[in-house]
Amino acid sequence: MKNKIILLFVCIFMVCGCSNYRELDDLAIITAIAIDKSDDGKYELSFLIANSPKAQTSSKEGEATTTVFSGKGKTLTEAANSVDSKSPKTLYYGHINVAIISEEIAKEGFLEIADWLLRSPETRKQFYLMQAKDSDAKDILKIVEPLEATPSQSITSLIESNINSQSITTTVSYSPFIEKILEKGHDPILPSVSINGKVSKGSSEKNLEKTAPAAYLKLDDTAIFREDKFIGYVGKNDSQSINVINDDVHELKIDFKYKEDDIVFTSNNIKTSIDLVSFNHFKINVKGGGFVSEINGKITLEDPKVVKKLERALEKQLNKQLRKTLNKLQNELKCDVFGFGNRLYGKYPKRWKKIEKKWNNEYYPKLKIDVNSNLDIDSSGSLNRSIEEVRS
Amino acid sequence: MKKISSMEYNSLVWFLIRAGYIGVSISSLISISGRDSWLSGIIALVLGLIPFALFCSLRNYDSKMNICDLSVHLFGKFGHFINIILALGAFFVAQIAFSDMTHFINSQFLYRTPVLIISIVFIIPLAYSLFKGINAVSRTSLLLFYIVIFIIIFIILGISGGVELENLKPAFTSDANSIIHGSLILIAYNILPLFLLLILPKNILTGYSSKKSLIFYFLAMLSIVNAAFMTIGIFGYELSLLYEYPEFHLLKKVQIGNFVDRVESILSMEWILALFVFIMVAIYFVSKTFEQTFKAKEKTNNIFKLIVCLLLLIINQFIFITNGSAYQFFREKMYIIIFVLFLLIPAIIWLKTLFKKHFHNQNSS
Repeated sequence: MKNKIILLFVCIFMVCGCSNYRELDDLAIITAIAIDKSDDGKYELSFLIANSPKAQTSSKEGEATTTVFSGKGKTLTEAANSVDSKSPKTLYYGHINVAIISEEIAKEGFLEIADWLLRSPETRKQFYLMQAKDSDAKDILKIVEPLEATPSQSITSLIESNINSQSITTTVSYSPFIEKILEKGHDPILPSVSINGKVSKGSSEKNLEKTAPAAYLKLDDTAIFREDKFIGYVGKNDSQSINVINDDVHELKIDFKYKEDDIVFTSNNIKTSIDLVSFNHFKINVKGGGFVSEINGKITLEDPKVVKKLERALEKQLNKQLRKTLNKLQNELKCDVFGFGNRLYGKYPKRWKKIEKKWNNEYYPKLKIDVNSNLDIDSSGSLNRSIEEVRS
Repeated sequence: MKKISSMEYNSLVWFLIRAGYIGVSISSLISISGRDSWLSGIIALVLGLIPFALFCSLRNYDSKMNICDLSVHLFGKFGHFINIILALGAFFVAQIAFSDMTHFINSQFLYRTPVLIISIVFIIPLAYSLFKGINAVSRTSLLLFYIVIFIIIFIILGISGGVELENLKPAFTSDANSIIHGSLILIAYNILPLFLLLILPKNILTGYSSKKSLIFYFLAMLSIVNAAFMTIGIFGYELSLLYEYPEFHLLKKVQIGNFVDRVESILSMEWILALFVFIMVAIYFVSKTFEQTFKAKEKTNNIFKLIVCLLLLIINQFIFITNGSAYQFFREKMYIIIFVLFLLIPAIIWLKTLFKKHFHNQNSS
């Protein structure tokens, strides 16, 4: 009897469940957050709540299934508390897919706001981080799109599909972004997202009913940072070059001219290595193979000599594109997004300490960087000859 | 007393080495040795062979004696005093491990749950397994060992692709003192607790072999070196330094294909299990010492075990004011205490065994 009582006592603790237990219905699951700076200098935090009752009960097709709540505060916690007081459900941060910061926040310095999400044990720190371009970050969360259920999903899909098809943007997660800021001699980058159209139209359910949406989200230029502060944007070609040099390319498409014809080369096995030749000299080697995905002319790819010439023209084009980007980043923006400084620090830690503070402004612009591409055209796609050639 | 198989014993070796890694040793190691933490790990692995050999030598002195019997045999009544000091040391490390385990759970999973509730949930099975005796502890340990091996393989498969060697550069920049300090931290928290296993006399271990234990020692230490290497290789030194539990955040990166994701809670079970086994062995050491020193009967000893568990529960509520003060204590003071308790005292006992053997040989000749 005594043992049974003890066993019963033990079971009481074992079967009581977890004291943190919360019903799913009682949670407001945040899938995206946006951080802006309001006119009065306070932080404005916006949460995209995915599991609003509309998502479960709405029978009206096309109705927005998400809700955006915003709140202001001197600190992000105060802003979050302000949102919390508006939301009838407990805010849950464990499913954040994407965080968007405004240009103003980025200019002031990202580290000022980094602590809150990094410190919270509920967040997973693996979500994407983006910068809003030409609009408030909170407006990005309001745009409803016909192809995805929620704006956060549509942003995530946008980045992931782009990185796989064009490599003109890059996926940056929260903690790696902070890691780059903290690393010596390495400046971070962020993809930006903008709204094509008017926010008021894009946030309306009518946006879903049209064949051509009145407003939609699009991936825009890449935001370049120096340490944690936003410096400027670079365009699509430069973004692509950054990804090539950083060896972060899934599929690369390069347009180049051969004689008077336009040709597109596609590769999905580009590999880049950065070699440190001496303290102020680096060598970038790009290697890879691919196929011709488009020819607007009379070029025959059956002749190996022509293929060789095409390869040289292609390499020349890529080298030119990479040099242009390097020049822009070294001399205009003065941001070391490739981590050349980090490599120097790795190899010459003592010499690095002497130049660390002058790196971005004095030493990095003078760095000698050789670019060498070695690309092979392995295939001509599904065609042996061009249409123009057969026609003539 | 029922026998303990060699595999069961070696699983205890594995857990005692691995337990100190979460929270205590890795965080301290990274903050002390920086990017060269892996080097400290390798040095600790080599230097750790000294206490490992010392413990093996003490175990082989007399197969019928555990460490308590041995110290009484060598030092007479003073041996009881040594045993009480060692038992207090075992309770101290059990308390630190218990605090580490509950703090880890509280800060990473159950942050709204009071530490007391988490402590109660663990104290009950702890007390139960101690009532059942060391055989239950060792069998539990073996069962958990197989689960843990599967988890570790899973973790390595899931994150090894993310290691960037650039993050480990510049190598060899930490000064020699820091590297040695890091090694001492690892030896103190991961190797010296093996002393607790000396509470098991050799004659209750079937098929015991020092060589087999050495293999487990190497595997466990290499897994710790690998953990330090991967943490810095994936996060970089700066981010690793920033996180309270960088190794736990590392688990958040475990992804296999597109279907295994968000598994950090399951994978971190390994640490909780290791700490649990560690605490079980340490409290067993305390209760066994009490039993032998005070010739306690089974009922009295069971009451004593219960009191020890309750003490663990109560002290855990106010042992550290903040986790910052805890880490400072781990880095600066605690390892010295462990060295004194689990290396200096055993070394004195070992020297005494040498003298005893020497005089015994002289007398017999």
